[in-house]
Amino acid sequence: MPEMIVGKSATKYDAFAKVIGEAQYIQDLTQPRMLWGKILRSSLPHARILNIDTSKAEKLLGVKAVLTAKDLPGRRIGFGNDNEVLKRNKVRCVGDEIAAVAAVDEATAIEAMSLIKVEFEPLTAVFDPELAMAENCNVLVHESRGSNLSLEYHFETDEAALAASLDQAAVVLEDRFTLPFVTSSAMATHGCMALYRNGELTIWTPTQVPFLYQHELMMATGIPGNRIRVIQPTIGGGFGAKLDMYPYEAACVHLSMVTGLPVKIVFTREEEFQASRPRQPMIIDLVTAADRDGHLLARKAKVICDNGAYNSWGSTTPFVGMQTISSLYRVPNVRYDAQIVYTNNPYSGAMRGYGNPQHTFAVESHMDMLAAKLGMDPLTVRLINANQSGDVTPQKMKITSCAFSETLREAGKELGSLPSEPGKLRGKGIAGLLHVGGGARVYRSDGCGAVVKLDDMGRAVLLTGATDMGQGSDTILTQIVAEVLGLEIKDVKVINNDTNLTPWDVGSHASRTTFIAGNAAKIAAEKVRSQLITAAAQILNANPDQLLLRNKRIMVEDAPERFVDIGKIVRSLHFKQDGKLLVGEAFYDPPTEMQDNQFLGNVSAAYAFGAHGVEVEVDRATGVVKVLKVAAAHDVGKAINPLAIQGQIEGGCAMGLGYALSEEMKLREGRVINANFLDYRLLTAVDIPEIEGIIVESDEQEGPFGAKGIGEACCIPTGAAVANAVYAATGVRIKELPITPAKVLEGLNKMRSTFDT
Amino acid sequence: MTGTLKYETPHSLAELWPLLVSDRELTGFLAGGTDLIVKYKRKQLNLTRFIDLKNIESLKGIWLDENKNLHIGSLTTLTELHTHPLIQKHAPLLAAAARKMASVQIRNRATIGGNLCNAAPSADLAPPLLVLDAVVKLESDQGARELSIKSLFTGPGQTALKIGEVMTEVMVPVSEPSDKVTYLKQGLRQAMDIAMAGVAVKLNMSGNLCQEAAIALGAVAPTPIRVKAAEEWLRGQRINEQSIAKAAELAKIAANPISDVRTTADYRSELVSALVTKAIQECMTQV
Repeated sequence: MPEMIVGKSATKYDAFAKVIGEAQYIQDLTQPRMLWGKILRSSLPHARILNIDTSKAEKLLGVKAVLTAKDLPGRRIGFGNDNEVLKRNKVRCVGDEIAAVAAVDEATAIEAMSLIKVEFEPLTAVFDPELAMAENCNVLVHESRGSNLSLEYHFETDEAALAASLDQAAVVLEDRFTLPFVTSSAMATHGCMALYRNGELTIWTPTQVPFLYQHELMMATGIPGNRIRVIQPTIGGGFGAKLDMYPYEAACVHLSMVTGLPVKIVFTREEEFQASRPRQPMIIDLVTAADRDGHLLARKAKVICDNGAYNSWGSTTPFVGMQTISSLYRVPNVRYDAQIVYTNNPYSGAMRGYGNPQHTFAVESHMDMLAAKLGMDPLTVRLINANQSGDVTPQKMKITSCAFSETLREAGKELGSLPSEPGKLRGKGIAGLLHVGGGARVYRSDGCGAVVKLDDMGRAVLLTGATDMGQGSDTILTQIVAEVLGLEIKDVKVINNDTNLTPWDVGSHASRTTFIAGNAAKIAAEKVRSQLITAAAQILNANPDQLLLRNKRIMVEDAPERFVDIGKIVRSLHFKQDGKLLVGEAFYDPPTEMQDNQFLGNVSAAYAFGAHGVEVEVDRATGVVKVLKVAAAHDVGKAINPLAIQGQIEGGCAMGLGYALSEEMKLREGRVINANFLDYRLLTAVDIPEIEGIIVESDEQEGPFGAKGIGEACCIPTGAAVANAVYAATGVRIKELPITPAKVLEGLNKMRSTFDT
Repeated sequence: MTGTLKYETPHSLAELWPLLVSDRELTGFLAGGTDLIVKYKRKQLNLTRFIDLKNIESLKGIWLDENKNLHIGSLTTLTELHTHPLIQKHAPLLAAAARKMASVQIRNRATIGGNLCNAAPSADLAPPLLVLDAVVKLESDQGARELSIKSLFTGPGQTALKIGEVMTEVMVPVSEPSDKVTYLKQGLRQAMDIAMAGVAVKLNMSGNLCQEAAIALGAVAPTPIRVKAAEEWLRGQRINEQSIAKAAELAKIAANPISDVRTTADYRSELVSALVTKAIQECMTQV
């Protein structure tokens, strides 16, 4: 039966509210007698705290509370418990939380901060992860750990086979790729509002993971989890930076506990740059080996991640990067080593792609370099190595639906037809990607709960744990429920922002929401549907198999004049003795497995593939790279909402192009020196070229209506595609992002001087 | 944030002068505010008072005098600069430069006087005004004086304005249709950016011979500068690949750039040479 709603472009569920300014972000929320909180942050990257004098701040008129570590229970927080809400003895990065202030208004809170006197003993700091790991490094970010190594990840296939394949290889490439700090630059900065009253905490916060957050906040504050209610306002962008529970949030809770009043803290843009979680800078030493026909024989990666001062969820990103090294293209022999290294830089976290944009930059640069070395076409070398349906990768990831080859062929197809202008060099490049597309089992559960209730007026309400942080999942979920129940999209409402109401979900991450929450919503709606059909079959005196749900009615398939309105069926069930509610519930947890301690296991129920083709024009005299077009082909399984996919692709490509060309958070002694949108160069509308989204459908059997995730995939290969296009245009290979005009010109000049001599 | 900020709104220069009897060092003149307010909020300025000039009508307006000088009131916004018919006709270089600055919203507020008095080495209006031989009018309670734009900039953020002086007008000699003019700006993105380097060129040709040349650079020295050596070299030259290359080399030598958060000194030097070449080439395509 053809679908009526799924597969057709639908306007975003929240578009109207956002366009007219009605959507309520954390910045908009207020409460009677609400106090403003502010965090006093460290101006030094590494220092012992000798004394904190808050007496003057406490005396300031309008100040209601000033808290330091001594006022708090001293619970450790963060992944690996290496962090504190307020720092007691030592600060480890610029921006570290030292004191929290609550006052009647923001200006008073700011003034109070200026009255707090902190006595520091500055310590030598380390900002370079390689130096931090060096034998002779005498700086320890966390003394008790004895070294600056926070975490290590290691995966390898058979060691002897790997060595043999390297010996046999016709080509062995070995290069270092370097990736900078970038930050997601969500338009809404972080912020939360806490109200602790009668032993119950309500916290309004734009978290991406409300139920994990509830747990983390319990661990951080000591408030029992069953006394914590998390309410999410409209989220103005998450991108991974809102996976962590931040120290300021626990501090805000304590301010409310102390004052008995609601307290709100909102980040300034400068705080957003310095104290939210950027994407990890990485140094990737990559070895790629292939035979003379271009078949990959082996890949080895040694990765150093700048963790910054503490762990965040982002410290686990090698988990994903490792999959790229082991499983993007068919490669039989693999070794992967990653070190997560403490430094006195801001601590990095999750950002769209979760380690994958970095690793894909290295792998896909190497695929092009391999093609050049063998004199092969970059597309051909990719096609002969491309993953296929039915493959099981070295990490035991089971590839189900897979249209990788088709996306590779589509991405570059239309590019490169126009000749270069004088003084300009044109070239096209492609790069592929692999990412989880059917959830990711990184916790014991990768599940999501959903409840669909159908009202007597024929309105469905979906209660789901799934968070929409702007990516559009609410729209997808309403489409799915409307499709199953024969309703219009506008007859379906979503409630997903209150842990008191919504069923459990692990959170919006890993591009999992369409797949996981979509399946949960679909199953819940189908349970309602079967109850409806049973009731309708009686009313219509028909065989349930013959019934069809369309246009808010249930009709007999061959005799559409025999129908009954859905609302009427619900009323018939409500308004009688021993009536019943029409509610369906589901908890969907995909058929996947946790990876074992060898990093083996099928973490996702489906994998997303895709490829970006980029055409650039490089100015020979200035080195300026202009992107003329991006053609982004994605295997999405099934496009539930093609318009939403185009939106994801455009946003992802804009982010990917910024990563490729212009974005870099610059640090001096751990301080972000371009903490504003003038000097941190997000690309603007006029910089963004035509972006052609090419949707390739592979009908994933486990996905809702065949769909797979797309959210992160569309920003992953762009950087490598740009680098490959710049190489095609100029012969200059840039192995360090961003590809600035200065780097390109330096490369061009080097080539010129080589030719001259 | 401690301390109060006084805010005054004189409606004429006559009302302004008495306000400047005291606290002149601690006073900021507010025009568009697109630099001043940002710096103040970042605590880069130690000020106790803003004097808002926007109500002083005599600082507004654009007119042409009988000596073919364009008079541009110092409160003229960047949007007015790039849309006003008189500017488009008589100082097209200035109109084009204004269009390359900031964003629509900022161009609606930012003023020519503010851009010049802020005296950023990268000020986009400075190189065009330098090659156009503009003159600025400075006034105080002591009277008015005129100053060549070349003498206005004395260092990064520093001008020849005396304490208590305000810039009231920018005077630009009318460009002739035969003048070949170009302003090229290179940022890391195509809008809302500050130049890594900016180059303005004005050429007067007689056939293929260069009669007069003016070349100015922005963002590559402590102040926007003219490049005398390159100008003198070009004068009397045929414009061809060799003469352009020499001019570009001389401009590169004249530049004295720094490395900062935007790019490196080395790249800025390279950019000067590339942009001077392109600017002259672009001038030569104008008929």
